[in-house]
Amino acid sequence: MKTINLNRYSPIISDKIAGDEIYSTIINELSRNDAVSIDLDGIKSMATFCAKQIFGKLYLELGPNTFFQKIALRNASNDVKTIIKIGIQNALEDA
Amino acid sequence: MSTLIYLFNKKITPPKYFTVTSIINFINDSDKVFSLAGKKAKGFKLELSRIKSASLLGVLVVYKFIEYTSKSGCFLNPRISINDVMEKEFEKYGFANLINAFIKGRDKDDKEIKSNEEDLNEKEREYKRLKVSIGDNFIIAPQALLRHDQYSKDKLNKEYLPQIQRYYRYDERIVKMIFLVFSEVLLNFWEHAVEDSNSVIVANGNKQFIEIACADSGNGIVDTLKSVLTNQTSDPEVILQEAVKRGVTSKKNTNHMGYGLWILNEIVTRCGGRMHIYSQGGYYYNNEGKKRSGKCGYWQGSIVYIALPLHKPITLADILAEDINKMDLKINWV
Repeated sequence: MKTINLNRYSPIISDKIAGDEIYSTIINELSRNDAVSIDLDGIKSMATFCAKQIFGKLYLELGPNTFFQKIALRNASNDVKTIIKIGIQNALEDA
Repeated sequence: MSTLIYLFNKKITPPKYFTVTSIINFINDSDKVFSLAGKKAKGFKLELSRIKSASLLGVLVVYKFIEYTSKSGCFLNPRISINDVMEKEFEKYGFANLINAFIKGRDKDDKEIKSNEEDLNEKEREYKRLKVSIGDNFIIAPQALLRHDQYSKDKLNKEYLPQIQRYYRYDERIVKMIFLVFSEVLLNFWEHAVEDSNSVIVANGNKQFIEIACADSGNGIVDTLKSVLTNQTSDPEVILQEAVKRGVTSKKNTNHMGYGLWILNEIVTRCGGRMHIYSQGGYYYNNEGKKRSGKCGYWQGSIVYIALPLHKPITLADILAEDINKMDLKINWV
């Protein structure tokens, strides 16, 4: 499984350009690999906008089952987990 | 052929004790200034020589006033009077070089604001020389928020924020709370600002509290929200009340969720801090959970000030615990 390390964006992901980059990287790796592991070590926080932009969009595009099978999220703190969940939930509500 | 000369025979004098709560007086006094862009009005004076102390927010607002009026050509030969106290406050919070880029002449205590391209370039260079200063407290010197400037982002993420992280390493919850606030404040100003809105962020903190202030002179919260609110109000007071509600955003059907100001407001309420917002004729205050809004002088753009005591840090998981429990999402956490 390919690992995508987000450490270069640490400690906070707080702008659209970074969000776009991360989303594109994940999509590119998914086109070459069956599954990817996203390492969030060092990410202390993330704007809710970016959580929706990256993970909300992926969840919608892949669907819940494929998202679960193809994307593993590693080393996320409880706060970052909360932010990602909120981003995904909001994307689902908008869909 | 005659040239029209605008007169603006007015002296603005901030309060002697230029505290966070007295900023509104300065904003009220500045009301007409934002209609003078390009007018080069004669007769203006900014009187800073009576100030006995100034808050971080006071210094930021004065700086933004000088920057805006200079860059926008509001005045012709405006005068500014600065005392030693104010010089020291500018120095303390890292604004001295930025202010000096707009001021020429040192005839006794009077200084003249000038605006030309050479000095503006100088100012932008100064942004890049600024450093975070850490002693008993820490100060993040003013940092320009330029959306496409990787330098600003790298500076914040690789230099300033890691230093804050080290400063508060004894309590992970404090770091989480501060970084969540930074994430939302930065996103808000980066994404809502237009290129020439000159957003600046500055912070000051110690082991007991942290204050973060951000200001711009671009499209304010009031203008950006007014077109999308269902009640179609143009009352800035009402719009700012709406702006801090969950899910209210000027950019519906995008990745904007309308959570930013709501999260900040919730954190401030739960930890007993302060959040003050000024934008385009309105203000919103949350003082230890007591919320009120009203009308004030016109400030083009937005000012957001947040002060957080650190004895009871609040995280997003605290705020959204109930919502999270109800969610049925398939996420592979490993």
